[in-house]
Amino acid sequence: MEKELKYKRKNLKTKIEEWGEDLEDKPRVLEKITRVKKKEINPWFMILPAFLLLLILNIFPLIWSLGISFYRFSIIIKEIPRYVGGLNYINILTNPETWDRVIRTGIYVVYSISLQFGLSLLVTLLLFETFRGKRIIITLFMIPFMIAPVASALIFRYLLDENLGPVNSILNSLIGYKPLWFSTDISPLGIPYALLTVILVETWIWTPFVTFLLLAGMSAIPQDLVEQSRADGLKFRYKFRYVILPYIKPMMAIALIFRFMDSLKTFDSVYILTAGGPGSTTELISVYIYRVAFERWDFGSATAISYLVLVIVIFMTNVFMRYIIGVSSVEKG
Amino acid sequence: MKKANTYSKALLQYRIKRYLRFALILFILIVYLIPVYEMFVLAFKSRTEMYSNYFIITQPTLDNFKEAYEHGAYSAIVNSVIVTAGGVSISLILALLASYAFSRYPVKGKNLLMFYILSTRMMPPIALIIPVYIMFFKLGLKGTYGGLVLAYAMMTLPLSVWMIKSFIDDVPVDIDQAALLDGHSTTYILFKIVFPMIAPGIAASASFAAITVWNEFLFALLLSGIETKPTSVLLSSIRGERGFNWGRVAAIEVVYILPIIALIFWLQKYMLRGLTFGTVRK
Repeated sequence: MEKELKYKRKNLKTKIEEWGEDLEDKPRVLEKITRVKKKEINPWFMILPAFLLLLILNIFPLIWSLGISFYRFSIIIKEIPRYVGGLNYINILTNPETWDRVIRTGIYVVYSISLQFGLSLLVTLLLFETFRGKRIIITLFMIPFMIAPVASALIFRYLLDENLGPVNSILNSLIGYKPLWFSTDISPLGIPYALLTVILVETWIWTPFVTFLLLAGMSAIPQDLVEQSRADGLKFRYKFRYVILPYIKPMMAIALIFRFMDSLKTFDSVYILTAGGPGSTTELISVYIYRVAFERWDFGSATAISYLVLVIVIFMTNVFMRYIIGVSSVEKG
Repeated sequence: MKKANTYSKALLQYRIKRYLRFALILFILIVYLIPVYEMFVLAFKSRTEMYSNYFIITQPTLDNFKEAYEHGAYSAIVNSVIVTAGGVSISLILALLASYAFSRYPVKGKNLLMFYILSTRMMPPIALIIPVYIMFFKLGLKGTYGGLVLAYAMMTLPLSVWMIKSFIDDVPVDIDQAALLDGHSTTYILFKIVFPMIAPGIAASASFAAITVWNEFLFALLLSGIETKPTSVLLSSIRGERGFNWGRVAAIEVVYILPIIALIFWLQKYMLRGLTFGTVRK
């Protein structure tokens, strides 16, 4: 077997040497090579370990949790899981609490994504022209995004401390007003201050991410186009409309998709900042699921809600991802 | 003469605009980084000064670090290192093999599998943690390093597979085929030719995976025990009887974020791939 393989390879090699450099028959030879290769190792053996890990810790749990969602189940109370059919789903769908959290998450997503995109668009446009030290500035700008959200949220709890924190003491000396950052008071933006705080911190964390993607899109603008627009003395709004926008559009789409998906998952910073409180002012959907599962220990309902969220996310991923793949293949081609 | 004058005027205007723009961007950057700066300031401040002289240190002290060390910060950092190293190395080994197969062979159902792997990135971790929690609870893995390492290996596998695949895709297939014609085995091609060629890419993928694990909170919160508590969980539970001791919190935070800040400068080149799962390349 081994010998035969070696012989085959040798044969192939001499053949290729005979045919010289530019083979007309290249596809056939390549096919032959692949066949030789195939005999050595089945690619499935290389994929299998990774696939097994995902099977055990991802696919199986997800299927299992679908099962759990049809049971009354808790690991704290020593009671046998009881099959309740679709009761969990009926309960959560008729419970106004769930819809309240869904709406809250929606508000949060809309506000935080628009803030992030607005701010990063501003920064991106300011970085339109090249100058020395641009790379360093971009890299420094990435720090808030790369460090742990737990650490960021904690430092904001200090900065926004209602009585003693630096932000409030500066605001107090400037405009003589101390906003209660972690309260249910309505902020000028029409949402409670606590929710606004969560949105601001998330914006602080994620704006660099969006900015980076937009900058990557902008770096694809051909340099002669930039120079031409400068030589023509193009007005800024035309420059933006006809030079910049077409190039950052695909990246904006990608950033939007990523941000949308990740916003639905926000947990760390909210948990540290407010833990969903006061009351349920900042209880986004993932914090709500956490509370149902690990504070009320109602695994049945928790898995039912998370399954609904999951279905929405998977559906959106499918739709969006096709678009992403389309966009990136267009860019390459 | 007049023409030259308008020209120089326009040039001057352009220069002023340029400097203004630069000043503005610098200003935004400085304001933006104040929270990070504040972490460092707080960490070196004495306790009496916590709520005065906000942005400057008058008497730098290392007391906060000492106190953090006494309150279990050391073991938390060690735990973080253990689970990060464990999780990343497992996922890296699995991802190297799988991504090579994905990149080079026409495996049946490849697109579907790759797509599934990518979609795990989009899943909310909260949906996954409940069944995993029950599973680990029943298997006795909750509170052990092994459980966390496995969970993190699973969590970072998708990023590693996609990113390493994008690097392998950049290596021309001709190189593999030439080596094959020379009579080398697949293992040889993998470990002696392809992987060394993309070594920086592998290191970058590993770093992104490591940062993900290092920063992770939800899984750590629910799956770690008292002895295996990583830094993120320690930080979340650090509140004392009389509110926060900000000096101690900041001291732990500084140790926690310093390695990442150091890594960012090196990772700059690979950032785009890391952020978009290798789907967008530059």
